[in-house]
Amino acid sequence: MTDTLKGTVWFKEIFDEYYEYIRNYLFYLSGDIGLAEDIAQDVFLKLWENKEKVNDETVKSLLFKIAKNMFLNSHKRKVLDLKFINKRSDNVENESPQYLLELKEFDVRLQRAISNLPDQCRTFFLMNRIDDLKYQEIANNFGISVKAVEKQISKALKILRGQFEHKM
Amino acid sequence: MLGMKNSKNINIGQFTDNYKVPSVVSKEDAWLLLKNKIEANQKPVTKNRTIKLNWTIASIATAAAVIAFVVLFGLNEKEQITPEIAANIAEIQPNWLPDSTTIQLNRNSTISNYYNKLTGERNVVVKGDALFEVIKGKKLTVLFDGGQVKVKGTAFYISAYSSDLLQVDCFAGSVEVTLDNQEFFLTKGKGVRMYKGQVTGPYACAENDVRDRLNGVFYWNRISLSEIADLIGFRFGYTFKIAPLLQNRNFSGRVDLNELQQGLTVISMAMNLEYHIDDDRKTITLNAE
Repeated sequence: MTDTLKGTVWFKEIFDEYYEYIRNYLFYLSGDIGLAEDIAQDVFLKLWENKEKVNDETVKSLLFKIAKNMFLNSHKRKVLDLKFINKRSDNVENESPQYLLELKEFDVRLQRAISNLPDQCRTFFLMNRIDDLKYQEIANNFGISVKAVEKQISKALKILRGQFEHKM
Repeated sequence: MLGMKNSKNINIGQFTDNYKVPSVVSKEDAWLLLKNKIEANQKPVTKNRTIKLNWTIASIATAAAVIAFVVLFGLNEKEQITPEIAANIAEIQPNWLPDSTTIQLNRNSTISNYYNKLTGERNVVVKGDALFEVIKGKKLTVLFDGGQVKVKGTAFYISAYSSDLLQVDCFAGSVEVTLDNQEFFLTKGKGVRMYKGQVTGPYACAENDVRDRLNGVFYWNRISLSEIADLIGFRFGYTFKIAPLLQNRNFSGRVDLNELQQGLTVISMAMNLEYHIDDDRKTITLNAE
């Protein structure tokens, strides 16, 4: 790289700290991990190109903003099909086959139901549950109030619970 | 929760705690690919640019878009990615890229191969020791933590277990090497190495000495004990503890590192040292005799 060592070190630190959050966020938006990884590369390239103008304190929210804009500018809305890896499958050795089957069916339906949530509901809910981000952190990332985050996550849970109460 | 034996009682919030986002490219490889793009000064591809067009331009653009669509979907727009290939501590593994380029992985080493069908560019991410014999064709870039090598048709050996311990030796054709942001152009019989930020070379290297490394035989000329220890540590999965006064002592000679104890015995005898291997903690202690 032609940049100063400080710039490179700073950039690597930013990448190490935020890459997974940005990639995951893009996955929650797109449902396509290949696309999420491609756009995440573009997001960090954009950051590199504008590093002189970047304020360290707001770099995280800037990355989310770039990611969202790049995704929305590049891709039309489509029906999502989120497919997560379920870590629980390693931990069910002592359960009955009937229960395991029920769990698997539940898992498929839940992932489909999450995919169908409104964008903001879905991303905030998944950032909270999968990325372990607190409401305050999500609020900071998107420059909105904690109350608004809370509202979206409650809405997500309400929709999901509603669907499963009626169908099970 | 699973003890309840009834999926109706499952807590949705808790259930999703077990979800994990899948990945195609590891974080480490993503960084290396990103670095490569930055170094190549590649701009990100903008997918939807709003441009005011007249009808003629619009027609041409539409035709081009249709052709691009066919090409993209016909060839699969994404890079073809092979799973990570690894050689464990006890083996040497030969591998071939789709174009017949040969990569021989030394012990405890891994490669991932990214081949772009559209551009024909070949990117390989390596961690550890590997010997490359590259078939002439599109440019091949070998990426590793701390640097990269760009080649067309050539043969060379890379040692890249860590960004602190890097070595590239060329024995056919030529290669462009970047180590810690410093660029080198190596021709046949030349090598360059970097240990903890200190670059040595370009120096002369013999093909037989380079190829011998795949057989586990290493030739060193005035190399510090700490550097040799780091390499042995990476090869066998151990961490060294060396008295500070010994770390900068140099070693010269040929050592067979197929067996850990055999290699340590040769080095210790030559330098009047004694070693102790702790297999539980995976540490090796070196002291003056």
